[in-house]
Amino acid sequence: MSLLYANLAAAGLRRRRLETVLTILVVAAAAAALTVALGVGRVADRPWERTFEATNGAHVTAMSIDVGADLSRLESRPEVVDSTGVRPVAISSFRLEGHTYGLRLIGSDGDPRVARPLLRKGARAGSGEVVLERSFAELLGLRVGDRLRTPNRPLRVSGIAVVSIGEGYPASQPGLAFAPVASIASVAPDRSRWGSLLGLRLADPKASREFVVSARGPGYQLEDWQATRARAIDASRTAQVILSIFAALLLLAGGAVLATLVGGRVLARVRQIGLLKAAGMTPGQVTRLVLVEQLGPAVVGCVLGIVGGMAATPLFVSGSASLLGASETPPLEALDAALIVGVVLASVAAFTYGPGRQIGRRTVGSLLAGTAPRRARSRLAGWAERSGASLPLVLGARDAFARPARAVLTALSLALTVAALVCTLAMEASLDVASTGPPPTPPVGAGIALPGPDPVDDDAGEGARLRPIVYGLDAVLLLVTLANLLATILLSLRERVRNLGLLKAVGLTPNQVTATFLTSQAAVAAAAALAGLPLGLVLFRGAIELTGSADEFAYPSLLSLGVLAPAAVVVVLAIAAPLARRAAAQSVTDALRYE
Amino acid sequence: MSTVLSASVLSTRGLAKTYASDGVEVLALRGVDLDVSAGEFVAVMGPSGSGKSTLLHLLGGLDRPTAGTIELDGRPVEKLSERDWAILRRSRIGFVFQFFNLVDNLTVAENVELPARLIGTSARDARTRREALLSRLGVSARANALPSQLSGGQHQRVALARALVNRPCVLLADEPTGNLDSGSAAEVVSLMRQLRDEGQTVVLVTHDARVASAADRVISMRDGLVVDETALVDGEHPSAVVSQLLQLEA
Repeated sequence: MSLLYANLAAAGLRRRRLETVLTILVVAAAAAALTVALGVGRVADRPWERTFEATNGAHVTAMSIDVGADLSRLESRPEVVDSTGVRPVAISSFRLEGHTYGLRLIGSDGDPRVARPLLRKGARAGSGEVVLERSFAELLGLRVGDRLRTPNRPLRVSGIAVVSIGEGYPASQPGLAFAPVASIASVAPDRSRWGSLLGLRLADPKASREFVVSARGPGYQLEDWQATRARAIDASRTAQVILSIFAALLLLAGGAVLATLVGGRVLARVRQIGLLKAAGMTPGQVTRLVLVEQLGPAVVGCVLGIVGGMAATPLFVSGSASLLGASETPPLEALDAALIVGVVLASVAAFTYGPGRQIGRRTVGSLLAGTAPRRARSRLAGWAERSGASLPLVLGARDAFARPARAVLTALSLALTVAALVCTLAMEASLDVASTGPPPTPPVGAGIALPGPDPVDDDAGEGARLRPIVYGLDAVLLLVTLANLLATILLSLRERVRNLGLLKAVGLTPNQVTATFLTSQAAVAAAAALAGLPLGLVLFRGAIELTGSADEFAYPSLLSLGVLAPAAVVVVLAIAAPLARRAAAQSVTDALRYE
Repeated sequence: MSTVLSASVLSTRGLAKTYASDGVEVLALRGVDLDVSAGEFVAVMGPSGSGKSTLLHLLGGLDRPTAGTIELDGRPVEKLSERDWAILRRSRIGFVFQFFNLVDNLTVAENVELPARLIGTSARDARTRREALLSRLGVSARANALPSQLSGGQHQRVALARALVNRPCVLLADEPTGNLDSGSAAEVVSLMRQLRDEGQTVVLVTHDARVASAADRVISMRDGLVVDETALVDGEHPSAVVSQLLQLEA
């Protein structure tokens, strides 16, 4: 029996090549979206904690701005199990593209066991070299091999590293760099203006606050890991919430795409299923056959999608990791790939099984009669007619929601993309509001006075790093939506071949037939766009409120929202128009013969 | 049969149609000459693959001939564009098919009014015409039903109403009773006959000799050619040639 299913399924797939290719395409888009969403989601999940673990972060950090302060006595306390050793800290500056930037140099000879900078690029610093903290290097566009023109001698960038710190650059200034003590001495030779830094690991990390209280002393400050984490979470909360929203939107869009195509494909094949039942297949056998037929291309699409998603994920993950101060996410593992395959195939099976079971229970006679729309009245068509619209437009409006479940699923996937674009617009508007605030004040450093804050402000820095990631995720969502639209429009056309043929038979010209189909598509697209606008605003507003920065929320301009809705409809029409014209040119005889 | 027939409303000369199927050319029509007079009821018979449906589709502009000419009311129409054919069909040609006659997301009333609205008839006039036709064809109670809610006989009556709503000069019917039980088929044939008596030109393709017997003339086709033409008097059955053809087919 299994061989029979396989043979029948293979014959069905060969017979409907276009639909098979579309299934592969859409499942691949959904799997790729899930892969990217999983990658971004993992970066956004406990980013600070993961970095802390990866760098063996300090439970308590002691900072001295007084040369005379003795931090080494803290190492001998009984709660301490390990330490970085007392490390010198000096403040310097360098010139870049006509501007002066501060530089906080931390002595790092050897390879510390605690709070070790985790190299992402390049190598450890040798003589005359520095390793830059990643958020600092990325915002200023500094790369391995670049030279920092400090007042006394140039320093070569040997590497870029991740560390578990409170806020990244530029919220925390000056930018962090790690260099051998000898190199620091050559840049800032006046050792009397150096400070020192000590990182401690405690036997009981939960007792860090008690340690801070009991170990207080003159000339130094203590901060425990929980306070550092609170600052880090506060600093990255907006980005984290935005990335989580996009990951969720990608997941939802992937699901909507699968439901639309797979469920729609099964429902569109009722006559064939009727014939199989007439030939003696039981409802259960029919359902199993349809499952095999859908899962075959879905497996192929899944593999292609995961490969494509893996190729695209680093584009989002590295930027997101930098933004959130997270260590790099490990590449997709076999378990993750299995999870994606499982989720996609289970979704395909679920979306196939439901309609398949429902159809399998119907009588052969009703199946052979085909699936007929159930809705007899259309308010939209009534309104179009009363407003004097031409007949093709009225017919299109009539057709738009004749199959409500299908129309809703198609609209949902488009609405999610519109919502994501609205989130992007709202993010832009909110960053504009935030960036009008005062620039951050650099902390008072030990040693030399800085010329002033670096010529980048906190929000511009966050915006500059958020934009490429958010726009990239927008692009992925857009691609998923376009794949879905293409598939939905092609299947809708196939489903309507006879109706369009009949309209021609009774006297509609090819242009009128095209207009009828485009009107139905435009009506669904307009409904989706109108639903997507408030959905996007509500999502973003909710996300901003979650971050506790509701005062930084700004609505996108009415003009941009006003352009977005018609733009969504235009995109749908641009995809549908050539396909509809081709369908309208088909001869009536062929259209009526179509099965 | 006592109706006086006037000049040809529909005529073809050397009408041919070749289909390409998997690289092989199939000659569906091999040069058909046909004249249908105004008010005449012509039945086209023949076995499957004889070319009768192809002929009907070419007459209605649903497909394009490979060679030959078609005249409707003395006007050559075989080279009309898709658009011009559509406009011509709206007002001059009514179609009834065997299957899938009605647009499935439009109600019975909307299906019937559609061609009338296409030629610019006001909504009120279209409704009046539709009500009259549905009433006459005995399906006025189903005006608000969707096609999926109709029986086979009701389906074909509605299709007939839609084909007639613009009072076309020719009604083309492709196996209109092929999907019906004998009772419903007899009703449809009776309606066709009544239409013919009122002066409506009808060209009907059928397998069924009883259906063909309602016509004024029976044209028999085989292998894409007209092989026989028989004028019938009222109540007469198709010619022996036609019967033989039917037997061959059976």
